[in-house]
This record gives sequence, C-alpha cells and structure tokens, in this order.
Amino acid sequence: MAAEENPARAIRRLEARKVLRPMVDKMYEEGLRAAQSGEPVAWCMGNWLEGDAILRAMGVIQVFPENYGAVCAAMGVAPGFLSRCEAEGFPTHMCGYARNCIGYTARMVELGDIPPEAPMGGMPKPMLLVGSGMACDARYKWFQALRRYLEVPIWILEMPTPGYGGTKRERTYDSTMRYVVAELRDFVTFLEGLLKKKMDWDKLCEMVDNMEKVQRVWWEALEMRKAIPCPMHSRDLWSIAMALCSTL
Amino acid sequence: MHASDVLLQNLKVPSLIIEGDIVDLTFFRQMMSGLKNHLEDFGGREITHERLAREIATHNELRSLVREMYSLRREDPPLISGSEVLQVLKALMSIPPEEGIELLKETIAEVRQRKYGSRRQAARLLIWGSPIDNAALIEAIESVGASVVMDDTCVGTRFYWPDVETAADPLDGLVNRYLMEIKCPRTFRDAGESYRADLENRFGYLKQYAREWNVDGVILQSMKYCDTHGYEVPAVKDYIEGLGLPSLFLEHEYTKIALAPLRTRVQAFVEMIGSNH
Repeated sequence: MAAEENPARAIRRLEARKVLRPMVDKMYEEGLRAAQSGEPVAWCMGNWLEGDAILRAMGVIQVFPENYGAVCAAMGVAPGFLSRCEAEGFPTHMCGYARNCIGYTARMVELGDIPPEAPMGGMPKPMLLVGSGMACDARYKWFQALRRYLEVPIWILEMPTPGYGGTKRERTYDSTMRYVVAELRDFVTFLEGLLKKKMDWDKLCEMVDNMEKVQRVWWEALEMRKAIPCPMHSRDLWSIAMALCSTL
Repeated sequence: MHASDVLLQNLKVPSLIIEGDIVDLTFFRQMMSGLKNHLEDFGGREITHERLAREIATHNELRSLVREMYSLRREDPPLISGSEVLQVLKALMSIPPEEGIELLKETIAEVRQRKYGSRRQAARLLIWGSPIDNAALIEAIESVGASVVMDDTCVGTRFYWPDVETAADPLDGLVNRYLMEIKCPRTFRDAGESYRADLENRFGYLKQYAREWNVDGVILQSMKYCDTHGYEVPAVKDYIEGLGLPSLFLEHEYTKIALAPLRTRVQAFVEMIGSNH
C-alpha cells in the first residue's frame, strides 16, 4: 500500500530538530574555537551525563568521537580513516566508531594538524581523554589505544549497572552507589590537579539541576513515542540525542 | 528446574586500577563479600575464614606446581612441548584442585625422566593473547619447526603466576590478587606520563619471560571479535619490538578448519627467525 494511501504510516519531522540539531554542529565549532584559544578540550565518550556535568563545571569543552564517527560515515569520509586504522595494525572487526577515531588520530598526528578531509572542521587535538564503561565492555580499551598517538592524560569513568525499578540489584545497590560517588570525587580531584583550579560546586549543582530537567523532558518525549502512530521519527531521535550533552 | 533454583549474581569487577587508589579495591571487596554471603545463603552453609584459607593454600600449591612445570621449558630443547602443557592446563580447568596437584606431580616426575631426544627447534616462541584451550593451534605452530616455550594467556601464566597472598582476611588476598596481580588486558592500568611508560607499566613482565625462557620471537594471537585483545595488539607489538624481538599477529576463528593458512604464516615467521640465528 503506497504511503499516500495510508497517511497514518507517515511521521512528520519535528520542528524542534531545527533548533536542536544545530546545537550538535555548534559543539564541534565550540571545540575548535576552544582549542585555538587555549581552553581545555577533552575527547569524551558518552557517559550517561555523569562526567559531562563535572567537566563542564570545570570549564572543559567536550568533543565526542563517537558522534564524530557517525558524522564521518554520513559525510562519506569514514573509509579513509578506517583503512588507516587497519594499516596501524588494529583488527577490522572492532567497533567502527573506535576505528574511525583511531584512524583519524593517526592521520592528525602524522599531519600535525586536523586532516583536511575531516568534516565539520574536524576534532581538535585534545588535552584530555575521558572514557567510560557505558554501554559496552571493551570501549575503554579504545581510548587506551589512542595513547599510542596522544600522550595526554586519560581518565576512565566506571559505569556499573546497579539496576532500576524491576531490575534493581538489591544486594549490591548501595555499595555500587557509594563506589560511583567515590569515583566521581576522585575524578574531580584529578581535574583540579590537571587544570590547577578548584571545582565550583555551586556551578556543578546548577549543571546537575539542568541535567535532570533535560533528562526529564527527554524521558517524557520518549514516553510519547509509545503512541501509535509514533509521533517522533527515529531519524529525529538520533539526530538530536547528542544535543542532550550540549544543553547542560 | 526453576530459575529460582539457580544462583544469579552480577559481579561487577572494576575495569580501572590506579596504583595507590583503594576505591576500586574497596568496592570489589564489597562485591566479593556479597558473593560470599549469597553463596552461603544459597548453599546453606557458612564459608569460614579457616575453610577459605585452606582452599586458597590448595590453589596456591597447584599454581606453584604449574610454575614448576613451566620451568621444564627453560631447557633447550624444552623437555615438555607447548601443546602438552596446554593439555595439562585444560585438564586442570575441569578437575578439583586436589586431583590437579596429583596430576601435576605425576607429569613433572615423568617429564624429568625424559632425555634430550628431540633436536633443537629453529625458534623458541612466546605466545600472547586471548584464552587458548585449543591445542590444535599450538600443535600447528610447533609442527613447523618451533617450540612454544612460554605464554602470556588467560589459561596460562596470567592465571597461574600470581599466588593469593596470605592476609588476615582471605577475601582481601583474593581481591588483591584478582585486581592488582593478574596482568590481563581487561584491566586498565594507570597510563603513566608517556606512551613508553604506559607500555612498560602494562607489559614489563614480558621482558622477564623473554629473558628467562630465552625467547626468539612472539606470536600475538587473538580470537576474532575479542575486542579486548584486538585493541591491545599494536601496543604490545611496539613493546615486543622494543625488546628487539620479532612478532607475528594471528587472528583466528577458534576452529581447526582455519589453521592451515595460519600454519603457513607461522612457518615463514619461524624461517625468518632461523635465518637470523
């Protein structure tokens, strides 16, 4: 049945994406601007916003190589970086985000500058790598491998999964919470030493408040997607999801 | 059988270890204590300190005998082959430690009786990488003029080299061994100031293995889709080459069918080593 005969199957694109999507582009512009002006820039993995608020409260500008992998793929330049990663000796079965980033980094170091083929101006050389254990087991090995090309400090945020609601792991929940709190305090101490400045705890509280408000709105939007027909196209969801990280 | 008949425990093992930082050790200690309590509830019996200490001592004795077995490969030619060692290690994974101790004593006594019957091979190799329980891979390597004299794998030295140190609380000894002493790529260790310092921190123990077992070359092997070892390959290769040793990377699919092309590559590698002697 053609789409025009069944209008219920067509999902309109969101107007909100016209506001939110450019925020993702602006993240890359901000990273390049910050690097040029000598401000601290960190390459970060997705970390469920735990590390993001702390980094931003310390004035660190974030760039996300995972998202950049998707950008390179969409722009058609990823194959070059993937080939470079393979030439560096990394197996080809590994995560495409990681291989794109490793290939990009090897090329950037070789050129001494951002590769000219890099889309959206590229990712500037970071002064810090912040990895996390979010979502998959071996991801922190990726940033460890980047040390072959970038001799910069690296921090890995552990992301244990204590569960929520029906999946809550009662036996280990409290100790897991204490562990993550202690780890995040260690992260603050690490950043204070690296950046030679103290954490502004009021600013961090404000960031965390914003973060919770943003997540609440995002959760409500995702709940609405249970409706049939779904009011939010998946293409919009993934296009604007990254904007969450830039709205703190 | 019901799902409730099966014990289910999610044991989060910290991935990041920084020397001098006790946060991860403290957390893992709590995880292990929780596991112990869960096992006690499930099994209906207490795990006393004394019982745990006895089991630790038994496993330490087992490990000591494995290390003694490994020492038999310092000879040139080695008195026991790499594939034979792996067969013994495979058996140890399946039998109670008390039986493993007897097996090892018998094996060591028998091997010590061997005379130098076989001729010296062209290359003495160390094999690094993901767990191997497939003796066919080692047999393929040893069929082309090489002796696998040492390893750095999860079924070999990574498991059997460090003992559990005696501690007032046996759980502390277990936690410390698991997180601090076992050198496995799954654990992210403090990176250090430079790439070279990072490599030394992560792989420095290989220098001793290479020296004491008189290694001529290293085979880096990884099962396909093992990301943990896959990410590690270029770095460990850099370190090995920094020691002046040649290396060969083999990615395999954990089947006997795929061994033939790997055997050919190993043969070329061994010939290259032999020509350099």
